[in-house]
This record gives sequence, C-alpha cells and structure tokens, in this order.
Amino acid sequence: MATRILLFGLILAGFSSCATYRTGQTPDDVYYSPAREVNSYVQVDKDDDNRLSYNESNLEDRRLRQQIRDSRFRFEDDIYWNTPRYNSWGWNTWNNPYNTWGWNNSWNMNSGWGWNNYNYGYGGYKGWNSGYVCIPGGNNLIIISGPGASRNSTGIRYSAPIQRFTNSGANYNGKGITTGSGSRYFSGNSNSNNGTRRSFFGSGSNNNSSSNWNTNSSSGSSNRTFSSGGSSSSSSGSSSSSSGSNSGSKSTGSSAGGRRN
Amino acid sequence: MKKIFIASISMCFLHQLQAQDIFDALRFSYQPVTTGSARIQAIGGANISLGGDISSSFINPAGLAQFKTNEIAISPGFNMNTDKMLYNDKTTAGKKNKMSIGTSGIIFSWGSRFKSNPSSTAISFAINRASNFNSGFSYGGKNLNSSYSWKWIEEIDNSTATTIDDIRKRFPLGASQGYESYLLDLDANGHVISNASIDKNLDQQFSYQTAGGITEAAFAMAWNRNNKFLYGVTIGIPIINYERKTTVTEKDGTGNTDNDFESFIFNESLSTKGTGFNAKLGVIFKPVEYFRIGFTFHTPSLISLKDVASATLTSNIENLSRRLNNDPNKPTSYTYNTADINSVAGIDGGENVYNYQLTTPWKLGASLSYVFREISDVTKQKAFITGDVELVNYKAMSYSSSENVPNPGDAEYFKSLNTSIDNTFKMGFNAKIGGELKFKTLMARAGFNYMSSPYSKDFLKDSDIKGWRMTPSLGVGYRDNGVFVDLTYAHGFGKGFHVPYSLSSADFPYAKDNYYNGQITATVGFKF
Repeated sequence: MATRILLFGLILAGFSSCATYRTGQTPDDVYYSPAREVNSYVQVDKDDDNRLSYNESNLEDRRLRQQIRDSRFRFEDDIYWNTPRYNSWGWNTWNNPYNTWGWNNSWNMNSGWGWNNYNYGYGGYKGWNSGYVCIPGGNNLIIISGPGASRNSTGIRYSAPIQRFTNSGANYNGKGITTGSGSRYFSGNSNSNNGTRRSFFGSGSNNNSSSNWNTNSSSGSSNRTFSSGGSSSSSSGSSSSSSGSNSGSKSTGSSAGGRRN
Repeated sequence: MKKIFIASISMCFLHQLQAQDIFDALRFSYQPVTTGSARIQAIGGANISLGGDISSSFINPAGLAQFKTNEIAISPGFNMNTDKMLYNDKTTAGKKNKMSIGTSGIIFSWGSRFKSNPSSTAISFAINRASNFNSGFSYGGKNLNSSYSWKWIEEIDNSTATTIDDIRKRFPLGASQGYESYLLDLDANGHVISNASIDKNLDQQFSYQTAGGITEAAFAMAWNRNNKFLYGVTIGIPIINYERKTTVTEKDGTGNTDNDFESFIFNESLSTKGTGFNAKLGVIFKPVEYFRIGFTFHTPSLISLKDVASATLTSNIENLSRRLNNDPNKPTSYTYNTADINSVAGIDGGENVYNYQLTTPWKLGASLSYVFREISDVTKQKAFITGDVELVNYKAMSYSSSENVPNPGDAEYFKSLNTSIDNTFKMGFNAKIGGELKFKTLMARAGFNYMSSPYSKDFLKDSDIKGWRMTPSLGVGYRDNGVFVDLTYAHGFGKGFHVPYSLSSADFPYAKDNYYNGQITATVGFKF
C-alpha cells in the first residue's frame, strides 16, 4: 500500500517537477538547497562575491509586483525596467552611480533631479503621488520621473537612501489592486525611450544566474498515518511457555494418551 | 571446531524451549548497509553529517533540515544473497534473489527567506528496508557426535514436564512428534531416549529458506537555524516480517534395515511478525563553509513480536512399532504435525503461538563531511567526502514477556536469555566513508562500509570466524530537469556461522558461512 501511495505521489511530483524545473537548474540539496521564495524578486546566491544576482525573469516579476504594489510605479516610461544595467549590475555599480550612470551624460543634471534635491528626498515623498517614479534598490531610491520632468525627458538620478523596498515576504496578489495603469505599461518600449538612452546604457548582458526556484511552496501535509500492525500482547493459550533449567536426564511419567497408532 | 566456541553457543541455546534465541535478537537488531537511498548506499551509508537526502529520515533527521525544496523519491532494489556453507570440508552454495523497495518517501519544506535570519523546517514521510532476511542454503554430512533429535530430549530434560501429556502441551514443535512417531522412546527406567543414536553413523542434511525483512516507516521533522545549526527528530515504526522454513533430514548410515531407525524428516515453519517504535535524534553543525559535523542518537526499538510456528515430523523406525505392539500390520513410518499434537493435548489450532517483546540496541553516531562547494549554482558543485562512525550496543538487546505480569517460568526464561545476550555480544563499531564527484548533471560515487563483529571477544576467540562485515560500493547519478536518478551496487561480504541445533550435553555441528550480498538499488525522484 505504501508503495502504491509513493508511486502515485511520484507520478504527480513528476508532472509538477517537469513544470517547475524544466528550464532551470535542479537543486541538489546535499550541496545547497535554495530557498523557495514566495516572492521571487531577488534571488540570493551564495556566490563568490556574495552579491545579489538578477535575471530576466526576476526583473519582469519584480517590476510587475512593484507596479501592483504601488501605483507610483505605473508609469509609462519603462526605461529603467529595461535598461541592461538593471539586468547585470552588481553591488559596486549599484552603489556607485558615477561608474555607469553618471551625471556626465548627455542629460542635464540640472533638470531637477539630484541627490540633494529636497523635493525628491524623503521629505518629498508626497511628491511621488504626482508622478515621481522610483525603483527600489539596495539602499538608494532611483527617481526616474517626476513632475519636473517632461514627458519625454527621462533623466536618471539617484535619490538619497530614503526608502528601501525590502522583500517583506508577503504575498502580493496583483488582482487585489486595480488602480493604476497596470502592468502593460512595462510590457513594451512604446514610450519615450529614445535611441540615445539605449545606446548610452548599452545592451548589457543578461545575468545567467541559477534557476528560479519554485515559488509555490505548497507545503501541504500528508494524510498518511501508520498503523501499528496487529501484534497484540495477549499470550496464546497454546504457548509453549515453560522454562526452568533442570539438567540431567528425566524420568517421564506414564502416558495419558500414549501413541495413537 | 573449538571447545570454547561450542560451549558458548551451547550456552546461548540452553533455553530454547520457545522459538526465541539470542541470534534472533541479533537478526532483528543488525542493520547492514541496505539502509539508504541509492546515493547514500553508494557512499557507504554515511549520512550523519551530510544531510540532504531522504535517507536522513533514518540516519540523522537533522539532515532533512538541509532541504528547502520539496522532493519525492522511490528506491526499488534487487538483492542477491549467496551463502557458501562449509561443513565437514564440503562447501555448498545457496542463492536467493529478491526485489524490494528501499528508502523512499516524500519531503516537504518551508521557511523564512529573510537573509538576516534564514531558517527552514522540513518534514518527511518515508519507509526504509532496514534488513533483508532473504536467503536459502543447505548443508550436510556425517555426524558421529550427535543427532538433531537430541535437542528434543534436552528440551524435555530442561523442562518441568513430568508426564507425556505435559510434553504434548509444551512441545508441539518436534519433541511431541518424536515421541508419537517412535523416534523418541522411553527406556526401561522411563528416561527419554532417541532411536537416532550415534552408532547409526548418521547422515544429516539441513536446509533453510528464509524470507522477509524489517521495513521501517518514519515521520521526521527537522529545523534549520541560520544555515549553521540543524536539528531533527524521527519517530520510527519498525515492522518485522520473518519467515523461515527448515527441513532436517537424518538417515541411518549403517545400511542396517532392522535397527529401529531408518530416517526422519522434520519440517518446521516459523513466522515472526511484529511492530514497534523508536526515536532518532540528531544535530548537524556547519562551523565554517565546506565543513559539516553531525551527531545522532537512535533509541532502542521496543518491538512486540508474535511467533507462529508449526512442525511436521515423519519418522521411519523400521520394525520398532511392530515389535513393540506385537502387530505386524503396524506401519514402519509415522507422520505427525503440530495440529495432531494439539488435538491429542486438547488444544485447538494447528500452530504454536507465542507473544513476547524485544528491545534492540541503541546507537550513537558522529560524522564529518567536507562539501565542495555549498553553493546554489550546481555547475560549481564539485564533490563531497563524508565519514561516519557509530557505536551499537548489542549487549543492550533484551527479551521480555508481553504480559504485564509474566508468569514465573517466562520471567526466568527471559532472564536467562538476556544473560546469554550479555555474555555473547559486545559494543559494536561501524565505520562508513564515501564520496562523490560531480560533473554538472552527472555524478560518480564510491564508498566503504565496515561493521565490526557484534560478538564478544571471548565468544569468538577460539574460532577463525571474525564476525565483521564489509561492503564496498559504487554508484552513479544524474540530476537535471527536476528529476534525479541514482544507481548503486553495494557488495557486502563477511564470515559468519550457522548452528542447526545446539546441545548442552554433547558436541553439535555448526557450519561456517561465507556470505556475499549484492544489492542493486535505483532511486528515482522528483523535485517539486
């Protein structure tokens, strides 16, 4: 019976497994067991340099969740979601905007986006509701749009580390939030992404970090119980119980029944 | 054949009025390398500190905390058992093959994913084939020292039976049949004697077929704290199923057709079934990257057992019955079984049933693993090596009555049996080492398992039987697309002995058993 249950479970798991691990790496728990994140938006690798790694699917998932979570992210300009650097940056580049995201670009740093711009700091939080858009980072908040920017001007600036969107572990159901423009804003490059911007950031390379682990934990319980078999402790009447360790030969008394034949 | 060894065995069998003996206790307590999935068997069964396998449920439950994924696995196996019996300078080989289901089960895990405080929990439901009893062998030869039928005389002598009716009630598994069939008789002084006397140059043949095994079902739960400290507990339910069919044949070797004994054939069937429970506790530390240290403790299993036995004896006593009954029409051959004896004794049923309890040894284990590397990118996972050592206290095995208030006879019987266990066995030592090389999706493994002799030094010191068991193993594995397949061959071998019967008043035979146990195990599993 147990074997049948296992075989049945094996078949079910086989189908489930094919769907979950068809494209990615299959974890080997003897070496390392990756956490199955419910909100898989940052995957933490225990890598050489212990940095966060991202890949395309994480990015997409991340932007969708962020959009659902906060209407401020539902902007049409999806440059940041699609910039290659977002796919490949590491800690160093993330924390140091001057390396690859500098002010020394063709954009005017005086266009109202700056580190010390009060309006986009923490105190300017309300301003986001009027069109500021941010992307959560490790410690910094990236402002990519705002009321001061024209519709087709998509300057990129860092804000002070005013807020951190940690992955809180809660389940976000996109259906629960219906306001805003929805994720389709992020699905294409139809807005003001101009060629200059694309060429500036280059194409980048997609992070090919390890696979996505199953985010549907489904830690269901088993109904299986174990019966303890039929070994009662009652003693049989026909037991050959007897003991004693009398040694030596024995004279046996007369037969009550004798040999039957 | 050395005297001390024989005397020791004799002591062990002194009280075998019931079916139990000390070697039954060992049979139900000795768990060779068959424990584990194909992967773990391939590395010698070592998994105290390694973790991350369904086998952890039965070795060190803390290893389950290594899981942060879900997994289901099944391990069909094929066991090939060969016994080469050396008896009277003659070697006979017996083979028996059997399929079985090895370590299989399902694991669920869940946990926090906060990097600052990573923790997880895992549970498993699993079964394991802890032992296989499948074997078949036979041996025989001349015996100028004793007859198998003498053991029945000693059973009667060692009992408090004073009448034939007592014998019928108490010994329906051979002694009574011997008396009814004229193989055993009473001399002029009323002493029980056997017509299979050594002056008849006895030819003996023993044949055994055994089947069954110990299957253990387990529920295990384990916790992971900060990826540094893992701990877990298993509640195990061992299920014992042992079947044995014995055939003993003895023939008159003199060629005399009128000496009151031509032959006898004794067939005995024994079934031992039972269920018990135990617990396994374990921890794993990861003090620094790459290294894991594990400790585990297995409590004794308390198992309630039920023996159901029956026996049939056919004795050819030539003209003895005709002469004693002064009737030329009396047969020369008689057959009696347990049902016949019970019928005469006024007892219903054709079997002898006895319930009792067995406590198996506790086990303590420690282990060290080196895992290169503990990272999520499987292409960078290269290898591991792991080693376990275990202490198994075979002296702690003990029998007890299943009655809350056992009758004095049973209590005395089990007490003497347990004393024999103390004198015969010792603290055993097991060592296991194994490793794996990983090539992205393919893996190659090798391992070695050593189990020391469970017998005390005094018990074996005058024999050339060492009592150890060694099991080298090799295996391969594949893991990709959410599926893993492992294949292992483990080859166990060692030298043991088999005693067909024991006597306290005369020399009795034993055969040396060079055994080889080939175990092919495949594990198929899915991540989900």
